[in-house]
Amino acid sequence: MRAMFRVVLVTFLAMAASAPAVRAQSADDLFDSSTLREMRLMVHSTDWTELKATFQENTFYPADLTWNGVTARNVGIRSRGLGSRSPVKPGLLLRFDRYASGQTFVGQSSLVLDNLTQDPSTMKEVLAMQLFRRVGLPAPREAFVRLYVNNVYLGLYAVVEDVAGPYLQRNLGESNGTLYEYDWLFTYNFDYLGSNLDNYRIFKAQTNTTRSTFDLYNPIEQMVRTANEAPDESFESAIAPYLDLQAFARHIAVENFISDDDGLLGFWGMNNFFLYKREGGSRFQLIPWDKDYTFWRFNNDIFTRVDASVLARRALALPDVRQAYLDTLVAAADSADEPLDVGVTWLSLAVDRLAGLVQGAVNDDPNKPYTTAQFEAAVNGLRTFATRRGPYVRCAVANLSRTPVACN
Amino acid sequence: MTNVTRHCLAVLISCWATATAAAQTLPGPAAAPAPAPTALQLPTSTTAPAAEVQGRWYPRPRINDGDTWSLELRTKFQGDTAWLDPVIDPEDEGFVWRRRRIGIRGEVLNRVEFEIEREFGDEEEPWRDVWVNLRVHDLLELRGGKFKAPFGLDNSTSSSEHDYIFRSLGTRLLVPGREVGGMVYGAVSRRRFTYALGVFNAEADPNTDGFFDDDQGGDNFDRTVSGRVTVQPLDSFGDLPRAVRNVEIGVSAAQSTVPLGKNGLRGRSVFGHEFFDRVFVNGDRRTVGFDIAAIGGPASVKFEWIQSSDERLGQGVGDVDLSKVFGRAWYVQGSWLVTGEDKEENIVPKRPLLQGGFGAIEVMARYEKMLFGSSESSDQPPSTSPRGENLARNQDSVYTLGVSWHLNRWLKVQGNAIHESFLDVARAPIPGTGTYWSYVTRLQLAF
Repeated sequence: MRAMFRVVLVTFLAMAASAPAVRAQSADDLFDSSTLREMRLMVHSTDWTELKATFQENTFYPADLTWNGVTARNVGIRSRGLGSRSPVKPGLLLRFDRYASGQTFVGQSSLVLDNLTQDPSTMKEVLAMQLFRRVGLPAPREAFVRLYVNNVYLGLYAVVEDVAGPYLQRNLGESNGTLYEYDWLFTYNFDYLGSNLDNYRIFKAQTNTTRSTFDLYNPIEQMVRTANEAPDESFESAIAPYLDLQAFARHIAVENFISDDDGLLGFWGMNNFFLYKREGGSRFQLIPWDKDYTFWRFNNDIFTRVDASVLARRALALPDVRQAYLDTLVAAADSADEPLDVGVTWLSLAVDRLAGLVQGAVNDDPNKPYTTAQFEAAVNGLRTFATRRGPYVRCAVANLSRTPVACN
Repeated sequence: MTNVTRHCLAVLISCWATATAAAQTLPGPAAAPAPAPTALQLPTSTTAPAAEVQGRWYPRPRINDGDTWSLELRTKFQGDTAWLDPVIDPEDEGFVWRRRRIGIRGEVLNRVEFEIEREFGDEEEPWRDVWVNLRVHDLLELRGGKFKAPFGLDNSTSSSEHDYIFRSLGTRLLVPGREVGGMVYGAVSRRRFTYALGVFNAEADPNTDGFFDDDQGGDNFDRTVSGRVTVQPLDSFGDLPRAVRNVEIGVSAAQSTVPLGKNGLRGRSVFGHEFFDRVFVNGDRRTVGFDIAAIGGPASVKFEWIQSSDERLGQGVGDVDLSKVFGRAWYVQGSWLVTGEDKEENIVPKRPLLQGGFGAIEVMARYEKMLFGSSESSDQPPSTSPRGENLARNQDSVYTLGVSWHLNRWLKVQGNAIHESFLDVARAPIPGTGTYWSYVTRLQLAF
């Protein structure tokens, strides 16, 4: 009897050991860009109709979200975006704590579902954020999902890590400071807007919103005034309490490398970034956002629109900041061109892998505002960029200390 | 105090002075039997005999032609002044006219009664009671027009005779309101048994706000059926004390249809601030109530319980059915006329002010709770989603301490101290602040 018990026990333990482990899903799984998973939203039919009909509004609707076997109920969803808002394929913001206090989903309090309507290749944002991280600058994580709403395939989306408490905690070690999202309203290049603090509400406070206008916007007014009015000889020390110029230079260098036309040095002034000010501190930290208007020209000048921004112009006039800028450009080029296999670089391989990953989902996407042929053309454009941008940047940087040669 | 406030108070005091003067010229019932009617001679016709129409001022202006017909003038003026701690909305504080009503009630041939009452503070829906009543027998009366649906004890008490400045939250938020409809009702052996059953065409607009006119009841939509039965089971036991014999038990029920949409029950504080948001509903609204009251001599004790629930058919995400959303309220209250007047009928001071006395003083206390949530237990975590299966509950617990000074039978000054506390402080009127004090006074002229 005892022997039989031992056999049964050993058999049971062996079976248990050989069974696949049921691993808890994590944010790393959610933002694993090498996978393409399904994400399902259940919404009341009238709410979904209304959300699409009023896609320019920010009204929240309740929904249940299921991803990879994990379900979150009573999630608040709303239409989001600026130029990407769509009544057909809405970009969505998901707030897990909207209706259930403290609720998170694999550690996230909110997520963005990017509808990828402004990028026929679908992958610029994912690639851009990866490159930011590869050169050591924190950036939101992203992955692709097939999004189903009420069991109907809505299309290919990117699930984007929202810049909120969990992101701040993970990257900065705290989240009780004040987060500002730059709210593009007009062409603005960090010029001084006067002493009226309301003029600085284009830096829209996302946290600590109940604080006074003075508490929220006086630090920004002071930073902008200093950037504009501090004498050249004391500019570096004057701006230091507000901004780490080296970090700023690294940020705009990556944006330049990826030929970002809608970033801090965008065609239409500054756009697509967050600022974070630590509680009790005065220094602001830049966080990149929304990088789908990138990877345009492999031969983009390495100082494109630097002079348009008073902050970039004055910062890059400082030798050490300028050097940090150039070093980051080269680091980005080296990272993009890192050989991963014989004749294959990181950026080229990433483009090919992502294209293979999403090709089927793009083909099936009934709501994409571009054709499959346009998708393939855009991917080919990325392949060209991936091959030629690195050499161009290294050449252009080298030209600064030699007799210039043609960089092609 | 604003000029408007001063003006309003002046008008109110003038009304009081006029009424008091009239009362002083005609002795009240405490001092002597009701005065003989003053005969008025109406203009006579040359072809018909003169009609003898009589008129009197006490207890309210009235003219009648024997038992053929009668007309009474009725008014109700109430002005409130409030102080809040903490202040939720500055508009809650200061003076406000709560009711400015004038009406006429009449009777024809002792069979037909009617009333027309207008609220002069409500331009959108000024008409309050507008009805005609046919008395076939004590057991059978018929009423048609616009009037309050038969439901509940608190709801059935006139605002001018109410012990408190505000009705209980359950009555204000859950019971059917005043609507257009018809009702059959009657009584056996005075009040040993009463019944009332009405059908109303409710037209509540969820976007309008009649909350402070708490004669209006809660929101109701479409056709509403409402009924109430009361019994005095101990009335025939003559050996029992009067307060025990007077014990009255009431049961009420109502059903209506709630329109599809975010029209569910809404939790609001005493001053109307939301603590439980509407959710999406579809189906029936059913409301039931139970009450018991004992009134004897100068004291009264009352208890009432009301529950209302809305169906949520097809209102979940994915269009699935959800459990009902409910609102549940109860209160217990007591009052005592310190000066000894009888509370069974309208309170008339034994020694009115300026007639050798001080008036009547009554003290009272009420404790009530108002809870909202979803009706069935669920393994889902609670949420505030308007389509949530398990709605996060919230409750307002209120105690009210009050004193009323009945200067004479027409004038009353009330003072209430109201304490509210909320279960979910995140959804309290000021998020994060869980307790509130309100101090309210009311000056009332009613006849």
